Amino acid sequence: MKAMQTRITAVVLLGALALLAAPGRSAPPNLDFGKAFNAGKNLVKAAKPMDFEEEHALGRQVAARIAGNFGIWNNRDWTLYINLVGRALAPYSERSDIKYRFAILNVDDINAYSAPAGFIFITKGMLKQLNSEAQLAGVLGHEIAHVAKKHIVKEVQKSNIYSAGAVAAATAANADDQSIEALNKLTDLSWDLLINKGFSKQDEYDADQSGAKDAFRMGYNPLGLREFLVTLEEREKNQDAKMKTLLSTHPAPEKRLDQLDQFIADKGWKPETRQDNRERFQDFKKRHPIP
Amino acid sequence: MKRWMIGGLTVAALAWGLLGLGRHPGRVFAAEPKGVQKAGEVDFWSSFKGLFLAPEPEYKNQTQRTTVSGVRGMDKEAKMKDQYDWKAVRAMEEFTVTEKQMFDFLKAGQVGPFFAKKGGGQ
Repeated sequence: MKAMQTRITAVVLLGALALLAAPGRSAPPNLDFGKAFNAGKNLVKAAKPMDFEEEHALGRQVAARIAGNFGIWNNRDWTLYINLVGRALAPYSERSDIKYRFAILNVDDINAYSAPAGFIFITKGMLKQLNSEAQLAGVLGHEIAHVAKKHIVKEVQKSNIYSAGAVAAATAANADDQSIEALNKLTDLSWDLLINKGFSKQDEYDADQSGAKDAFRMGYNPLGLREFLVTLEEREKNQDAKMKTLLSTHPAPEKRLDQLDQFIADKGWKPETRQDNRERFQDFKKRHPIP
Repeated sequence: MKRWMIGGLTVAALAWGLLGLGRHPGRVFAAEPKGVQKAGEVDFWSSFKGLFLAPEPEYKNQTQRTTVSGVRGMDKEAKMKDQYDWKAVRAMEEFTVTEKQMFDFLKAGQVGPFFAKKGGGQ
């Protein structure tokens, strides 16, 4: 799509240049060069991928909105625990050059969210549900993968609201209303994706596989994520209300299990050689009960 | 002839000294101890230090909504929930995991650079 936009841009610009350069040719009477130039400029902006500065500005705003709507569970011990596992996974991810940060949402729903540029949230309900460090690593790895693969960024870039530079302009000291509005609209779009629409099925399968892979590379049992999906499947059958949002924004657990099983089988991994750290996790849970 | 011999011996001594440096930790140019990291694997500590031990700059928070802007297909509930918690974001950015905390955590759990396959061996 982007390649096509680039080509269109090139053709438009070349056409404009040819018109301007053609000797002895006057412009058609109704052609507005100003409009044509702006249209070309917008095409160039749309074709340019979002840079990290913009991704970070958008990510911060989406993260602030997630935190503002759900509330943060400020538990120092648990926050440290998830940051230890999450930040240790970062060097093993396919995008290991950005800071991933982790916080806990003060809700009983079972879910996790990731905002662009590495802002990752896991719910208190999800922590209650997990039984091992390998499971936690799998879930955090899944969220890291959404960021690493730029799933939100790609959706935002596809939208007609996005134009390169607008987000960065909104965070500048002399930001104009238009830029601020553009950033707000992109935040709405990201929020809608996270809370209502969800990513594409393929994006979710990719995040599962990538999350399992990162956990495996770090030394965790890649079946940790699988175990969690099995729990989801069971809860889905019981129509657990705490999973309503997660199930509405993700493919069915059985489909995710099928895809993940195939991936693990293809890799030929030996999960039994990896760590679950189940005892350590459960011991921590006992010492730091989640209300 | 003597000069040549002295020169040759000096060069040889310097070369011996330079080649031997990496094997003796503590010398000025000695290579850093690699720990249990295997060649070709993720350079965990460099990555961790580079990413998470650097100070966090200040960023501008941007929430002044000029008008209520909807996105097509977005439900009313989502539009209404236009609340932002910038303090929480800053807390995430400033939350620190020290090198020692990470080292102890990974070592005790036998993961990351301390991963050893169950049953022994690497």
